[in-house]
Amino acid sequence: MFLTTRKDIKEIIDAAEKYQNIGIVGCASCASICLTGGSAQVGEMAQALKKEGKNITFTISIDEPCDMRVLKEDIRFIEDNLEHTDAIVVLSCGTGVQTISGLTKKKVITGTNSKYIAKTEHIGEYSPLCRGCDECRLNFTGGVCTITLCPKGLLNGPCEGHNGIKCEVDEEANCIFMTSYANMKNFGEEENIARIFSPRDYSIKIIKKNI
Amino acid sequence: MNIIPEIESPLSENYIDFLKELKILLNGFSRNRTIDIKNIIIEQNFGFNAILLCKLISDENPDTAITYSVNMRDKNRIALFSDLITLNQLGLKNIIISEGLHPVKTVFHSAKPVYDIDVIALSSIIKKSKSINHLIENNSNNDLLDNNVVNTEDAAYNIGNFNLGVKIAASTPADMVKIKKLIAVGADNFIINSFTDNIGAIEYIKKEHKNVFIHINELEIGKTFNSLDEAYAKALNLKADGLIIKIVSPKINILKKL
Repeated sequence: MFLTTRKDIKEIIDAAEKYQNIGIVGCASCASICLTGGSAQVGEMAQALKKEGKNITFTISIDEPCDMRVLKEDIRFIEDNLEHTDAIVVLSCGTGVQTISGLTKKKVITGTNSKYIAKTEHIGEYSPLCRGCDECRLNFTGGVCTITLCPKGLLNGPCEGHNGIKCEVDEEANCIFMTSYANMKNFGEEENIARIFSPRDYSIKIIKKNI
Repeated sequence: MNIIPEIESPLSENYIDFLKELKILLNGFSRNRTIDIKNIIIEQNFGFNAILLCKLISDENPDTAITYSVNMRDKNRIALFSDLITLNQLGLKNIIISEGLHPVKTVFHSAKPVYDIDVIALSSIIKKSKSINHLIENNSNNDLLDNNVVNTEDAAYNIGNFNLGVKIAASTPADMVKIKKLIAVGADNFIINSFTDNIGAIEYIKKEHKNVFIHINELEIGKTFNSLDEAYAKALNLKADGLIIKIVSPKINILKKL
């Protein structure tokens, strides 16, 4: 699940200042799970914008606004309304926002901040587990991602700043290298404990238009 | 056993004043019976350029070993390679590397942390690379750790023979794994953060014929330790090769009070 958080309504109102007729799109997938883009949040956004004197031309929740196939299907339901819409407030991750922008060619205003790929513990409780680095090393790290869970993103062992258990940066969190070591020890992976990783190759992170 | 001051490159004060202060500090040491300052560590943080400062101090104090200390927080591999080439050209062969305090723990709270290379990877690069051409060649191949190409054709660009220190923690089995990796890649000196060795790290490192230094902050004197002598005696008891004291402020500089 891609975690998003709600933007301050003031920023959204500010971004919408020039636009009178506004449509609102929610995401019924990830953003719905993290309570930033479900139907309830779409309704709340409509109320907030109406208070500012805006005319709401449509509201819709789309299953996966990041999926062009789904988007094309669902957008047909609001085709007529779209013609009279100046801007669309999108309550999804950045990918959904840009997919809608690309398809509709309308001004889009994002209502969320995109954070990271996260595990859902409960509704309202999420843990970051993946940064999408394109060089997954989980096979060799005891199944925990040190790039994501170490604030310094280290590969080859703990920094000098931990206190024996806790992380130097996030003092409430355990140093992830302790978990990594314990898991590898538990799995009997001595060869992985001794493994030295080469530095990351950032050239592979240059975003290509299509894969 | 030496006491070694570790001093951050000055932030706000004029570096010429800083050098004068340092001279007073150095002269003061010779009067002290227990302390023999043969080494000074200049740590790059966000002040005056530490390599330049190392060079200035080195020129003025030819009998004192000057060590450049740098962290992985602020520099990517391009900037670190530049440091290595500069140090080598200036004849400054002592270097300490650490991962470094995260920006959120500094006054530059919102700065982007770099951590492009970690201490183990940079240690491997420093100890195994023979020349700048070699570094570039291996980087192009994304093969920084497998340095099996020897290029000694251009002596001016030879970056070998650094005396390499690494700052480490020494309190968990994961730290011991890291120590073993660092020994494998050729680190020479191990700087242990305070007196936290409860895994036999010092004994292990000494067995491998490497040097161990205990690192404390001067603010710990009077708190964790009653006196500098107490900290010194403790380090001596551990058979450490030196006690590094981070000087955090010229105003409270513990070494000036000796």
